[in-house]
Amino acid sequence: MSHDHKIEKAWQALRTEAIESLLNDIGVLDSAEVDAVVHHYEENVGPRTGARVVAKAWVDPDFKARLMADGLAACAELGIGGPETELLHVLENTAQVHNVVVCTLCSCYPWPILGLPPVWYKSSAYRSRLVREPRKVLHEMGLSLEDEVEIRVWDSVSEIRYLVLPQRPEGTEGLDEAQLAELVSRDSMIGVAHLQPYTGKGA
Amino acid sequence: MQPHELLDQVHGAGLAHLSFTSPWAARLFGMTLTAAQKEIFSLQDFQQALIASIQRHEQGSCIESDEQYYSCWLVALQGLLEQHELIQSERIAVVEAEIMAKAQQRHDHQRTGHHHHDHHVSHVHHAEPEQQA
Repeated sequence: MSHDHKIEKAWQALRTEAIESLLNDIGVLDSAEVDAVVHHYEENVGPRTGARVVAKAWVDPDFKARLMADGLAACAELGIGGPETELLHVLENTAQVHNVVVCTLCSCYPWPILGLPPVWYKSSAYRSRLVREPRKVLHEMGLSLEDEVEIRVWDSVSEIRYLVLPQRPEGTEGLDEAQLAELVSRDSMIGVAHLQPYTGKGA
Repeated sequence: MQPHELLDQVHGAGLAHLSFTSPWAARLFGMTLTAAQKEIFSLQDFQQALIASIQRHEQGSCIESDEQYYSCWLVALQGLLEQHELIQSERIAVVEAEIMAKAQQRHDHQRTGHHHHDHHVSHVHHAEPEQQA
């Protein structure tokens, strides 16, 4: 055991702390404001936010029409949104067409609707392969689509963000909006998963 | 990355319900959004900086973890702030040294005060060499 305990810190943690400290010192940023943003994303926003939008679209045809016409305006009706997203296109999955979203250049994602993206969404493998071989990638991720189903890959560019509206699962006719929202997974709203038929048992 | 590894990541537990996988990534994200809200730069500007940073990283190796991804984010944010002349890399180095000196002081103090409870909590992070382009 060494008696000379030198502490270590990940260079990213150190650099980040230094930058925040400097920005505070010159009055450009206030750490309390940063706290508020972080807290919002840790506590309030996440895939459950998007699930509410999807469930509402399933039960309310008028809302769905508005959502398809202007995603952000419809989300705002539910108190969902933020300055981080300027344009939201909603893509409806059907028996014939399957939509899936990627950001090939970085990792654009509809933060205020779905929270932060999963690790695999940011990975080089997903970003480089999905456009090239979507059927294969989706299969590897556990989603096998029939050959007849057309796959549309949407690359998030500039200001446009995408939300996939998954197909409503079978067996959910008797469920209300809140119960439906419970069934909607994050991955189904990115387009890498289907929702399983509802059996009445908890997921 | 092999195909099955992608699948493993998808089904891998743990990360799925965590917003941020490290505190510094959370601070970076928060600082970026706050700066954009204050119109210090636009999110489009940041996006371009992030794209360039990721491209530089991917010339050498793939992004397979949150740590690698947010490291690119850090390089992008630092570059943008330097470009706007809000921070200078020399000043960052000075502040980093101050932070480390203070942390060392606290650590030494705790060790002399609580030597029975030293569980090495202060040096769990493995320091990485500078990766900047």
